[in-house]
Amino acid sequence: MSSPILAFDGVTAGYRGKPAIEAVDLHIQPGELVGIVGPSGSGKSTLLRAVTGTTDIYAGTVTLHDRRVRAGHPTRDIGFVPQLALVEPDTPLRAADAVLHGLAASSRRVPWYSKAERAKASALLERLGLAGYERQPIGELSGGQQQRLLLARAMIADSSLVMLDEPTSGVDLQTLQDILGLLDELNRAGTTIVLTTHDLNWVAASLPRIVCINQRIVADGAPADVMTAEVLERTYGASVRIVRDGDRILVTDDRPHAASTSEAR
Amino acid sequence: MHLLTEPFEFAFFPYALWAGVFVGALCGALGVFVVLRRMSYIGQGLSQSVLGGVAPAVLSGIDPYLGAVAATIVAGLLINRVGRQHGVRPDAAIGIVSTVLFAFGVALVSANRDRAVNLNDLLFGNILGVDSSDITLVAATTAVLAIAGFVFWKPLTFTITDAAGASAHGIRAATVEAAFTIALAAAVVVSIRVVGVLLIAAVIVIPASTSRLFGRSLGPVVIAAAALGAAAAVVGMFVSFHVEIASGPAIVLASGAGFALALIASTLSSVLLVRRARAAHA
Repeated sequence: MSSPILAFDGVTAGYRGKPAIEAVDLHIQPGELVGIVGPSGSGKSTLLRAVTGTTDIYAGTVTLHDRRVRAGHPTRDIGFVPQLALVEPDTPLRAADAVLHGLAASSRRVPWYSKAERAKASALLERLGLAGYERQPIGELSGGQQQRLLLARAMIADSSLVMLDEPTSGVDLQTLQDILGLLDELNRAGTTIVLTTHDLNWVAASLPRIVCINQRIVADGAPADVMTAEVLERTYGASVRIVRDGDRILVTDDRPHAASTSEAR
Repeated sequence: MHLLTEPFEFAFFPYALWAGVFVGALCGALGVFVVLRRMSYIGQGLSQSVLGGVAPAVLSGIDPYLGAVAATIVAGLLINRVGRQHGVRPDAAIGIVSTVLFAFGVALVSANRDRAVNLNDLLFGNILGVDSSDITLVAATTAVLAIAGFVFWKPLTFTITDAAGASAHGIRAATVEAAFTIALAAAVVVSIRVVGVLLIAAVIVIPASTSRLFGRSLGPVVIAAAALGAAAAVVGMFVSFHVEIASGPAIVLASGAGFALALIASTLSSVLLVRRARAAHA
């Protein structure tokens, strides 16, 4: 097996001296597509931020491309899509410029971007259904459009690892389908993708590897092995019912008459 | 025409005019980033902090300018550091650091009443005292910061609009923010002689806010803010000369008048757009 692109070895990390994840061991191989699931406050975002060097690491090591990640030191060759936080409407930043920020660390030290870089930004915006929005201030875009734009920013540097924090939250169905289609396309082209989500049915149906976390890793494996009532109860502290129909896995609320879930394919 | 040429019959005027133009352009351009960071009063805070360095410098027989530079840089870095602390908002950090340093300066002055420390020039500026060495200092500071802004434009704009995103994409955002604060501190120090401590915030915030009323892209907004700041300085200097009022307030009033006009134009433009939309859907 090749060496992992991303490795957590006994990692305890958090904020202000308070660990949000503890003793995490997780190795991700190049080209994998991994979903991290867990309840709110379980440390999903901290796990990603430990890779970007924006959280404190109290024990263990995070290794990216065989180089140790240190808190406060920026890492390279990552595309990162943060949780959506809407930008103010009057922010004077055009959509294309926001996407091009993804190249800020590697681009030439002049205030403008090259024709090729601009063409790449336009092509990405087009792929994400934002053709014609290049000159639109980002604050005038809808939440779903801003989420697509953040994904374009994460993709523009052709990073070998793209991490997404809750990309499925707060977006409409069309945006969701576009984003997921693009992630699938990226992954097929060899990009390693790690994302966090609350959408259990979607990860069960779409991702080959799922990591359940609640401060510590509870389970790690293929959906068929991980999506069990016992594992999810240990992860979420709530009882669920798993319905299996061939390859399909459906997670439902275990309470009587609960029918709040959607079937995943 | 005489109104425009008469001031140049006085030796001080060209110096004062150039100093005003450089200060207006420099503070105007930096102001865009200050406003975007929601730290509009950092200019006021940094300038207030100056007394914390000037007073001990004067009382120790050191050049007050050195004291001002030291105090402003220390204040900038402290504001930056304290404002990042969990539980302390950036505006609170400005208030805490600037008032403590200001109080330190006042305490020193009050404890040494027998030693003359002239605060008037510090508070209100003294553009009549501007000489060629001041012009050189202001011009050099403007040039250095303009070059730095040119070279580091991409990481700077990314960090100012999304610091967390910038960190995640390989930018040393904390370093960029600290460097920006030092740049701002330098601008404040060289501006004090022209506008005085009390009005620094205005020359930083007003041109930037005027420019943002119409700008949709960061580059043009910064250039327009610099131009507006320089224009306000020119108008203010002529008004100051002919109406015989202090230069600092004259520059700020000119800038304020520009903002008021822009606000009216922006409001009218919004009203027209709404009317057009209603007419189109009637």
